[in-house]
Amino acid sequence: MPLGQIFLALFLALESLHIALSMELTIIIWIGGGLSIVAALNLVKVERPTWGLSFVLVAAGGFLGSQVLEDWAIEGSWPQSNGLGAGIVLSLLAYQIWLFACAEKANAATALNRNSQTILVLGLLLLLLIAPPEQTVLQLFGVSIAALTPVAILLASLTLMADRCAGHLLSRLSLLLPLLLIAPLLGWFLAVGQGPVIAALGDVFPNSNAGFTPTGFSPRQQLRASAFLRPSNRAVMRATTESRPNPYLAGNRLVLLDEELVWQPEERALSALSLIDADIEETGQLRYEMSNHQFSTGNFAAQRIDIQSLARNNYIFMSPNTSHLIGRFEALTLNAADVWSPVYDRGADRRWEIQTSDESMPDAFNEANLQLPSFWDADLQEKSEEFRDADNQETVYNILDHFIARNYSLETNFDADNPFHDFFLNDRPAYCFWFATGATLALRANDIPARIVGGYLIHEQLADDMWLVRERDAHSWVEWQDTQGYWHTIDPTPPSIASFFGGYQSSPVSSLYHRLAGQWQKLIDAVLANELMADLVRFGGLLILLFLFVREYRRIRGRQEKVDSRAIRWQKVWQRFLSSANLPANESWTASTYAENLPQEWSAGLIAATKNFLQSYKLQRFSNDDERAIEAVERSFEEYLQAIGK
Amino acid sequence: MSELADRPVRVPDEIFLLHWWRLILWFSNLRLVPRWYEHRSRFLLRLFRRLYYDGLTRSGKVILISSCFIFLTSYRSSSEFLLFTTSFGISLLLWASLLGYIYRPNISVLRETPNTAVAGELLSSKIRITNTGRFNLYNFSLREMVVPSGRWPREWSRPHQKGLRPGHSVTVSVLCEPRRRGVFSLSGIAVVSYFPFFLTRFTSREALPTDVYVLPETLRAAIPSLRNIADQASKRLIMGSENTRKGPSLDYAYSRPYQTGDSMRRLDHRASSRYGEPMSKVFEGVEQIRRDKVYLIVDLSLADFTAWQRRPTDEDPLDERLALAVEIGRSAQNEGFSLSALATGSDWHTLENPLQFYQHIATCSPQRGYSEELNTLPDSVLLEEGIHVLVLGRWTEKAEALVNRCQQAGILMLVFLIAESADHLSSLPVGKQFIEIPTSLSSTASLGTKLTIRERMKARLAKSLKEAS
Repeated sequence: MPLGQIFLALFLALESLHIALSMELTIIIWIGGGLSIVAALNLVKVERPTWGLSFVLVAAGGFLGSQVLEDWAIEGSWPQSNGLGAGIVLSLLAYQIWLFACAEKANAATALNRNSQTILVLGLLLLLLIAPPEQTVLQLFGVSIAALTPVAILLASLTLMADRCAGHLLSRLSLLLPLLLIAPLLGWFLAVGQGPVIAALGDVFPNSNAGFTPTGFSPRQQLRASAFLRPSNRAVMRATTESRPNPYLAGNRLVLLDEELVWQPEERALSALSLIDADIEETGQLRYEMSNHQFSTGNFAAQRIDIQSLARNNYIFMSPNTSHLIGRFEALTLNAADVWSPVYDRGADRRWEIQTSDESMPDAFNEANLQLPSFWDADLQEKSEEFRDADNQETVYNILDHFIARNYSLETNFDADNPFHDFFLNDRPAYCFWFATGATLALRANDIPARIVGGYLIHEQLADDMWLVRERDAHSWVEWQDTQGYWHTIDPTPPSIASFFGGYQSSPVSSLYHRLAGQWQKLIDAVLANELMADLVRFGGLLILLFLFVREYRRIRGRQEKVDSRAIRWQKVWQRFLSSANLPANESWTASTYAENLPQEWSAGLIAATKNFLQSYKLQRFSNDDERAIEAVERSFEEYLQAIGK
Repeated sequence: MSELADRPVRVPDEIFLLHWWRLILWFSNLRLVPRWYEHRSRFLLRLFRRLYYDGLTRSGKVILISSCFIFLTSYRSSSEFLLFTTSFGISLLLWASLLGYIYRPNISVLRETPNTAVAGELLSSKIRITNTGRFNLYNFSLREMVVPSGRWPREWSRPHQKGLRPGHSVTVSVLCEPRRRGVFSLSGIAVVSYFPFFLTRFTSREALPTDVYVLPETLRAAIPSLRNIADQASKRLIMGSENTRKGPSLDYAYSRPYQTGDSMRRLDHRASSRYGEPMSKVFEGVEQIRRDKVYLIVDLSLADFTAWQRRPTDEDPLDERLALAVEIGRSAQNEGFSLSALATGSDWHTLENPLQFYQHIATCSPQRGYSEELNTLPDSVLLEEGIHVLVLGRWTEKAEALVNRCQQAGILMLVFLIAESADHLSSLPVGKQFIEIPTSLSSTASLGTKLTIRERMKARLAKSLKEAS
């Protein structure tokens, strides 16, 4: 066996080892390594993969990865969270082994071998870009080395060199020895220069968001004296519901405004809900009961809202009057920032269902909801007391009327020393967070318990029953508590916020994409709701891919057989001609030779017919279109037979 | 995709709006990427090509790109082992580049390239390479430098040379494929060394310009024997009818060496045994015209090459016609004729040797043929003894007039037609001297298959032009 093939087989086995360790699936080592050895032995003749076969292979890999590998993968390994990616990586490994199996061996006559190059390129990409497993990291003279990757690079080079440097391979390998000195030295330089290089690149490619304050939900929000909001159109959630949903989706409720002008949640012990707090639904989802203290005016009657998260965070947003939360999560934690954070089941989508209810219960009064910040002074108190009226409800209306009559702006540039005084006393324009803060503190100054709520405002409708929430829809509003203990939602942000939404509308393409994605998700949900249908789709898809694969492979195998069969047809037609014409077989004679040396005693008709056939044979034998040519010659031969028959 | 050379010509009396419309069409199809000349590229492009394209094989490129990616992304994770992977990959490439530079090819090159080639067929040059450096030259391959309208063998099909000692020489075949008729100006030879690890390349270029005359793609059609057609046609020309007399009355004149095409019945066995090589008997008769020269007239006009175009949109019909001319020329030589003169369009060129014939075929330009008024054929023929062969793409009044003039003057003219569009199929008059060569157009028409859109458009255009004229 050529040396290059041995090195290539070793390279593939090493790649299998790397991938197996990275995925924590040892079976890949045995399958990958074993197949590499079998392929090197060239025991079975296989056809070269075409583009179609490669596509089907990668598609099947991705499909199996997402459907099967995610369940098989070890807990915590990366294929568990990215089955699709892992499936594609494995299909690429299979593609390389396949290429290796069908490659022509020992082709040292050319400078480079196409199949070897493709295998090495794909292999090196996978080896270098998939993070090396911890088991392969060695300590040599105090230097951490991911052992497999340098070995793989060396094997790649050896594969290319081995057959082309036959006779002096050892002397060529000795040229690698200086690397023992160069590599650590360069490593030291790279370690020193890495920071400055990254910094210099940062200067060359500055952050395009510099100077802007991004929008989006943030658990702990800060009032910025100087800010310029840059709304982002990135999608965060998709909500599906039968009726028009409550526009508010609350993320957390904050109570204390500190000296840094950062709103903080109430200090309390971390709370969590687990399986024992939940009811199990027929679909297998868990149903958690949530405390609903929201006063319901009847505008938002009991409804179910299905929400799918499109963001990378792990937060849950709920309507203010949510009574139950349903989803595939093992536990729910109310984290330090007062945001509900779920622990999803393995492989579950990031989605949840909200059930709202008219039935609520009063909440206990809490002194923290009346606490004013340290900068609160007589001027602020005096202005706040101007809103006081006969009862709390009227006071709330007065405060709302005041803030709603003011102007909305994405840009704030307040007095740096006393920004809140500047905003509150001078009626300066600002964005929702400032208005919510001002209203909360004005309510508290009038002895009405109040708290600020952070979340999103639903307003972009995709379809009759579907809404989309984007980062630019992040919003703050206020909840105040009446004397009975119920919480009421008020929104002090001026209505001119609508013009802000108007100015930052998403593109029609984006809307169309999310509309289609939403409909697609509904279709998938409808299919997966039925276990039998889900299995049918899964295995049906796999069978279709398998069918396409077999069909394509049979096609290329058949094409090869056709080429072989055509060669036989050419031989046959020539032999039949010679026997029917009773001419001697001489391999060194061409059709022209036969045409020029036909027996003189033949009749003119016979000579003409024979010459016609020979002329046709001469023209077609080396034609570019072999398939058509052999058919034409066979037709010509039939004509010849008819002619001599007459 | 149009080029600068396709810019529309302003036709006299053409309304400006039409001219601007043509200009807009031309501009909208204008090729924006320049053609690739390896030796003429600009500095930055050349630098990038030398460092990245010439400097690294695919495996080397993957190692370089992945190492740089790891270097940039490992900063946040503060990963030492990833940094070592980067340093190993880059140091391997740097070390290989240094060794490759030290052992770079220092060579002198001699070229032996054929003067002519055929479009779409491989052109093989014998390159004699001598190592003029101090060190051995290891693991190298040769290729032609890139020029437009050529196709170059991929890296994995170039032959690999293991080594060449200082002062030693080796002859290597280097292949390339011209893609269209014309003058193929090869600029030089590039020697690519893969030393030491096949991850890097060092390319040394030697300017070795040469011009190759590229003939059109070989015609896949059988050319009947000129001698037979000429004999049959001349009988009719002289006697008025070929039925008046059966078989010529011939007298033996002399014997000459056997040539391809000679009948076996004319073999002179006695002379053959005497001379030790096959000899053919030559007979002469009163009614057989002595001919040993062929004069070729090729109509270079294309019907859809209109007045406002600088170049025709499709030169394939002309290339087919020229390919037929080449086949006729070769057939004539095989049958013992000498090709004495060639008329391309209205000009006559005398031919001293076959190379001149090929040069004219390779370099001739298409002519406008949108109107019958245009002069696309020579006004007169050479009144010398021999066969005149007229090669046409369509049977025009001019051609008919020329053939009639010759017939009246007693000059034999054979007419070969290879239709340039479906409208011109089977348009020749009936007669032994009129031969139509089947083309791809006629095969599709005879099979009854639908013509392609392009062919249909061409046919429609030709029809409308005919009606207009």
